This record gives sequence, C-alpha cells and structure tokens, in this order.
Amino acid sequence: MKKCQYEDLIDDYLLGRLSPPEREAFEEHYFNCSLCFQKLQEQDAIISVIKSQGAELFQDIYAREHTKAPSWLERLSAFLPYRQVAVAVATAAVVLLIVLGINYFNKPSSPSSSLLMTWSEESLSLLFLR
Amino acid sequence: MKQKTSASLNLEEVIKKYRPVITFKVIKSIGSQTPDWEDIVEEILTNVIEKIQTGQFRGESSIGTFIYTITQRRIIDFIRLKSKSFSHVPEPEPYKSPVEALENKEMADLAYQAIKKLKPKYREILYLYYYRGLTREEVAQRLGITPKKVSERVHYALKLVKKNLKIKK
Repeated sequence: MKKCQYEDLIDDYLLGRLSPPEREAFEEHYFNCSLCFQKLQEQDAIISVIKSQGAELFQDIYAREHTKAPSWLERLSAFLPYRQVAVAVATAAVVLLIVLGINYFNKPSSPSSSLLMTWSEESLSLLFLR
Repeated sequence: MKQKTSASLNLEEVIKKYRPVITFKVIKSIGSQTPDWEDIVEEILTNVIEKIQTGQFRGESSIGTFIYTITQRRIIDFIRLKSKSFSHVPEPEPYKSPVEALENKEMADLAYQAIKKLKPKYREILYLYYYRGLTREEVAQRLGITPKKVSERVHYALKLVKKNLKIKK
C-alpha cells in the first residue's frame, strides 16, 4: 500500500512541532484523508497514554536515569560492612606500628641519628626545666 | 476529479464521517477540559448541514476542506470571544486526555498494557521521545545512535503497540 506523504507529519503535529502553515495544511489534509485520520487517532491515543501515565509506565527507566553513580567509598562500604572496614583499618594500624617499632630497634645507630637524638633530648630537657 | 455538490451529498453520511474529525480538531484546539467543546461540535455540524442544504457548498473544494474551513472559523471565533471575556486565556494543554473525551478509555488501557510489554530498548525510546519530549537529534545523541535510527525505532515501537490495539479490538 502506498504511504501518504502526510503520514510523517502525524508525530510532529501531535507534539506541536509544526509551524502554523504546516499545521493548517496537515489539518486540512486529515479532514480529507480518512486513512491519515485513523492513524492520527491511534497515535494520539498512544501518546496521550505515554504523557498521562508515563510516570508509572517508565518508573524503572526514570529511577535508573536519576540515580547518581556511587563514589568509590560508597562502593567499598556497599561491598564491605562497616564493622569489617573498622577491623581492617585497626589491623592495618597495628601492623604498621609493629613494623615501625621493629625497624626502629633493629636500626644501627649512626652518628647523625645519635646527634639528632642528643639534640632533641637536650631541647626537650630545656623545655621542661623552664 | 469532479467534486460533489450540495445536491449529491448524503447528509447522514457526512455527519457520520465528519463528527469524529470535527470533535478531534475542536478538542485539540481548545482542550477537552473546556466545557464548551461539545456545544461547539454541535454548532459546527448544524452550520455544515445548513450550508449544504442551502446550496452554499458548490463543490469548488472537497467536502473535507469545506468542513475544515467552517470548523476553523468557529474555533477562531470561540477563542476571540474567550479572549474578550478574560484578559488571559490559558493555553489549552496539548494532552488533556482526548482519549477519554473520545470515549476511547479501552483503547488507552490496551495501549498501556502494550507499552508495558515492550522490550526495554523500545520503552526507552518512547520514554525519551514522547514522555521527555526530546527531539530525534537529542535522543540520538543520548543513545549513541543516528537520528534515522531513532525514527526507525520509534516507528517500530508504535507499530508494535498499534498491532496490539488492533488484535484486541
């Protein structure tokens, strides 16, 4: 069946996207073409449903569109519960302290470090004596 | 093609054929929330019958164009009259549920069910194009496809919905 040249204007007419002369020409056409009028009615019914009940119809798409992407911290906390994160942080702190402590006591004392120590001890004792 | 004249027209057929068309045009122009729309449709039909009966339709144009001109003039008169009585006439909303006004509630329910059943990519295109009112170009940019592809997808989605309407009718 041959397609009517006005058929492509149905959408733009219903969405109010035609210029006044185009709109008038299209209206005059559907007064004369029952096939276009039938299509216009069907399309209008569908668009009316979308416009009036779209919030309900596209709830999932709307929600997906308006949910912002979570930050890395939110993603991590979603992956690990808060208690696990706290335990992990505490464990890491303890391990770090042990490593630093071992490192400190095992280090051979160099002249510069002993000098630094003496200087800091002296300044501390002066501070407390005042 | 030779146009029909007043004498060769069957009035009953004319009314039967053009009542829904006039109703559609009136509702689109003044909104179904305007209580006068039914009276205006009746006035237009009466006017059409009178003009045909008095031989004012001479077949210079098609009957459709003749009725369209009468309809358009009556709507303009109505809007002018309303503009005089109110300082500001609110613009009719484009989608004041003409579905209900045309007693097509059933069709609306079927359309709702059909849209709900569509594949996500078709529902998404209907959402962006009709519900959000984005242009073809904007939808294309958003989905990373060409505007032509948008038109095709919209067309196919509507075809699927219409198919459902026709089956259930």
